[in-house]
Amino acid sequence: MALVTRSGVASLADAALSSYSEILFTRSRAVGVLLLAATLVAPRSGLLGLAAVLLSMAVVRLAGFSSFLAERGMYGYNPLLAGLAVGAFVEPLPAALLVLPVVVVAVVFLQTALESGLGCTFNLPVLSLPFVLVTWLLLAVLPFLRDAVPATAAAAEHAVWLPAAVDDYLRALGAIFFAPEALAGALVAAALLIYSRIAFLLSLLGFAIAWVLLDTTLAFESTMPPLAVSYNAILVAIALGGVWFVPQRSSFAFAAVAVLLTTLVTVACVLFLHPLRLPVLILPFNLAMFLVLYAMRQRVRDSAPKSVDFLAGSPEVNLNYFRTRIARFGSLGLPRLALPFTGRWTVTQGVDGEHTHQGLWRHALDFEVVDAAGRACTGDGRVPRDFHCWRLPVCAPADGTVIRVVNHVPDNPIGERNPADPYGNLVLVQHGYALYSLCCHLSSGSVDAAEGQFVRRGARLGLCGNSGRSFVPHLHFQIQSAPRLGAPTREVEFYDVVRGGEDAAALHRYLLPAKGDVVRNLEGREEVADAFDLRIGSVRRYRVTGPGGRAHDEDVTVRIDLYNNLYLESDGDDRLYFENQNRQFLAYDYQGRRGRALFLLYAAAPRVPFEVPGAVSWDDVLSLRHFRPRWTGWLSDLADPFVESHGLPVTCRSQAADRGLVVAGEARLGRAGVRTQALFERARGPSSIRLQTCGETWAAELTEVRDA
Amino acid sequence: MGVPKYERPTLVRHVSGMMNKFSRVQAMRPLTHIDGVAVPNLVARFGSPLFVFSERTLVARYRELSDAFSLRFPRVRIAWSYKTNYLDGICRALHREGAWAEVVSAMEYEKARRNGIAGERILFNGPYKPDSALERAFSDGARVHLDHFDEVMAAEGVARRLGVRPKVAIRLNMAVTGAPPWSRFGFNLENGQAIEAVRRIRAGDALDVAALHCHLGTFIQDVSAYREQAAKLAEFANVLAREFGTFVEYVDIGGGFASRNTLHAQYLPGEQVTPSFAQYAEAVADGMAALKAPSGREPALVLETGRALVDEAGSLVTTVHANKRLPDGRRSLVVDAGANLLFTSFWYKHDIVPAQEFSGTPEPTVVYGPLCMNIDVIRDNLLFPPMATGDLLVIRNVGAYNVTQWMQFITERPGVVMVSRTGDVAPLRRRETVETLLAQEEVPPWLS
Repeated sequence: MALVTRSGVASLADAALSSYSEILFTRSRAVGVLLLAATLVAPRSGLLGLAAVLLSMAVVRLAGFSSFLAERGMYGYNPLLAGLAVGAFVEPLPAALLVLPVVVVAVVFLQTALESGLGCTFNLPVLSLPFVLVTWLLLAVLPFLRDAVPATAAAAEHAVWLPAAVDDYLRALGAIFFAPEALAGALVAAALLIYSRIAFLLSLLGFAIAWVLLDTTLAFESTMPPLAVSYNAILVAIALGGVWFVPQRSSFAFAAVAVLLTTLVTVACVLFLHPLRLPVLILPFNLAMFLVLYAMRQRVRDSAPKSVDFLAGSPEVNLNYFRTRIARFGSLGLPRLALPFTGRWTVTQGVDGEHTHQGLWRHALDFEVVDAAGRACTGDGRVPRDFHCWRLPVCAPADGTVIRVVNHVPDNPIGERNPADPYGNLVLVQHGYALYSLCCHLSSGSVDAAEGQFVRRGARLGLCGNSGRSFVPHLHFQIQSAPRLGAPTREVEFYDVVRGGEDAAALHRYLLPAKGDVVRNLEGREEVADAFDLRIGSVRRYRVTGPGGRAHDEDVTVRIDLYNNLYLESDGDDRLYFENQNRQFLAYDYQGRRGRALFLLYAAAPRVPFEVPGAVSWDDVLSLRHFRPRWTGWLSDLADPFVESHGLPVTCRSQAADRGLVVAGEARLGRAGVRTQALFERARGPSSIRLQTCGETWAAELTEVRDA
Repeated sequence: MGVPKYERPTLVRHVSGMMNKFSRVQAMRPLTHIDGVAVPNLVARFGSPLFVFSERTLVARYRELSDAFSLRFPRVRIAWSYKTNYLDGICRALHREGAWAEVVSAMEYEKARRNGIAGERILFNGPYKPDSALERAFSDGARVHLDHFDEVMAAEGVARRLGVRPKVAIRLNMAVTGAPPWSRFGFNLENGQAIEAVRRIRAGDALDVAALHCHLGTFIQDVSAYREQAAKLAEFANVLAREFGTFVEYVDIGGGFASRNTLHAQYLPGEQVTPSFAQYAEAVADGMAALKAPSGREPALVLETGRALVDEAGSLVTTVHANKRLPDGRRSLVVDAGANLLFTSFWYKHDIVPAQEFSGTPEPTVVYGPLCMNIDVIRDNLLFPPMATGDLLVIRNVGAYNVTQWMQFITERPGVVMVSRTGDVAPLRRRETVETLLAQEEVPPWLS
């Protein structure tokens, strides 16, 4: 295994560039380079900014702060901005060089302190508050420094050859980096475009609102406040419209409202700070963000705009991740609930059912066992014993804590009910905050779960019975948000459900079963699981051939990260996160280049249930991102937030093969079709993958397996 | 068509006060089609006698069994008992449904491997496993169920020689009410032999005890026997967990479920008294409830059901060759399928029905096979309507054991066909010819 060694200089450069790109919420090197260039448009402050970044890295190392954060530029962007401020505000140069180290140390310390304070207390990001506070500190101290002269932040001349709006926009972008000039702005805009087309669009939105306001309603005496209004608006629009929230129509509207709010804050700041002769900098952005983020977290339903509750990337990545997640894993945000039984049961009353699933309690399901002849009982069904579901085990739908048990209610004779204890014998399990599952009408004395006990998914809770408001033996299941009996029910979905009889069984990634549906949980067959036994550290070499006979070898290694996530990594940077524990192989989104072995694996087998080969069919959704040509990619990035797209749906079937199983997939991509076929072999794993589209074929053949 | 069929006159003695012909209700119905395929067409195409297997019934029974147990156990695995019927077509139909393989000889093991079953999914039972068979099994990772101490020794030797550490199961025998003790197989539970075997295997440090197996017997109609067996196996598994920290991967309760046939000694017909799979499953679940295992370490439940799965899927079509009146007044039929093909006729009162519409008064009838041997009796007494020569009969529920225990005796063995779920017919085994026989024979040089 080749060890990746990188020179200290390279990693230093990376960390430094990250400090620049982090201001636009990314760690892209190209963005960093462009932003660095933008700051150097004002050479003095640009160089002082760079010096501040390098200095801050030294401070972080010497003081023993987290090098993990430092490498990602998290300690760098505040010092950078502060360094730029020193360059802009302090004359002459020796004085500026003198104060720079002090400023940097102050920023790093303030950032660390605030991160802990704000982060732990309010769970808010620090943003650029340290830079703002330290810059004020500096400006407050400056008059008392003997040699230093406060510079009047010079607003550059208008570039006459540009339309006023464009010039104002570019100058606003440049002003974020203390270089309020069209050239600097253009570089920032380029960086923004490379980073994210959506963010670019949002910056235009923010600027447009600010510009209209400035034009129509606001009046300032100097030139700086209008610039501050613009760049704060731009930053807020990007941050809320695409970074902290998933970029969609709602987030754009939300960003627009937030920009109005920010403008108010900016004007207020000018009012308060002007007498103190302090610039507003990006304080309004910080204040507006704190306010809005904290307020939005108090919502009951986190949707429209949907906050980014996952590891954030660029707005494009956030949007794609979010949409794929909804398409693949449902939108209810429940834990992965399993059906609360084993074997094949039938829904006899669904949500909004005709008997009791109404009003506050509409989201409930009744289950019984129906035989091949369509009957729920043998004989004439005059005693509970005659019913197939009588005293069958009822299981926990997910991990949780049993918080309530009733076990004493007698079972009713057939056709009678017990109005005194409508739920009968029951087990109420808490699965998370405001998330409880209730299984009831259990058989008298059959409950073997105890209050306070922690149960795993699938653990036996009791036996199906006929207690409470139950005429015939059945299982009643519901999810509720409060722990008391009679609490309103809430929406429910089960994960990885096989629906339908044996000959037409289909796996549903998530499903709310309807009346009459025959459903069961995934089986988890060992003989299929054997083909997905990917040992950590094992290396597989693939011969990958593309159209036109181009071929290369790739080594794919199974790895595990700090958070226990498994992934496959190919020589380069291609990665495919996966899981193979929950009775299926599940590939998460692919990160990397097209035409690589892992890309083929992702396309051919986004999911393989460990079912008897041929027993079930299933479908899944691939991220469209990987299948678009690059140039249309940029255009569609701009349209994506406003167009509902659900990715590329694929349909798969499996079939037994000599030493494992073959998974065949089919998808429609525009007018063309994508056909895939993957062979998975016992003890070898994915061993032959083929993808065909538009008459072109890619293939990966396993040539060698090495175990760790 | 318009001419009524000739009906031979029948003399029936009227016994006053007893059941008589005037009160009897005709219960027998002809079986003219098997899964939609006309029986005469089958015979015209493949000859008589002919074994006919219904894939639909086979699969339906498998699913009924699987469903009944899956409702009570999260992980149920059915291992198809090869000796019950190891025609590749039958095995593959079940493997396609997800069945593993249970074999009891190197030959069966080979068949299972050729049917695409991975070693890890083959359970190797039986008291006779020569070293060569153990070698093959261990190198594939098959699950060998150890039967006696000498086999423990042999298995350890083979494992060491191969440099592998196989997972094995031990077979237990135990006393339960409702089933005769089969103490000749495996290690006895009650006298401590079983725990002794576990200790011995652990001391040998060459094998890992990964599963428990117990096969009570055959055609057990009393479900409570399984309740007791399951409880004892569960308790033994608890002991292994407690004493050695061993959590078994699976508990194999063997087979032995009764099919819907009627034993000779049985008064009520099998269709009425044979418990359903659900009843067996309930009993096993009751017993297994005693098993304690931490979450995630619960053993799978393995079934080795053979007879109850395949018996109903198989029918034997046979042709009436002659009618005969016996001196005691009973009528007898000579048909072209005999005890050479129906080993099970020694156990069962086989259910025989005509394959065409019939009329006339049923009489006590004996059904004889074609062999020139006194023992060749298919049914020694049944009420049967008059038959003409050339009429076809269907002997039902003969899927288990007959096509593995049949004899090549006096004549060649007939063909075996399967009717698919879509009504297609294909042979599973070609009708033997004299050449089949002679292919294996040699004539010493001095006689040729």
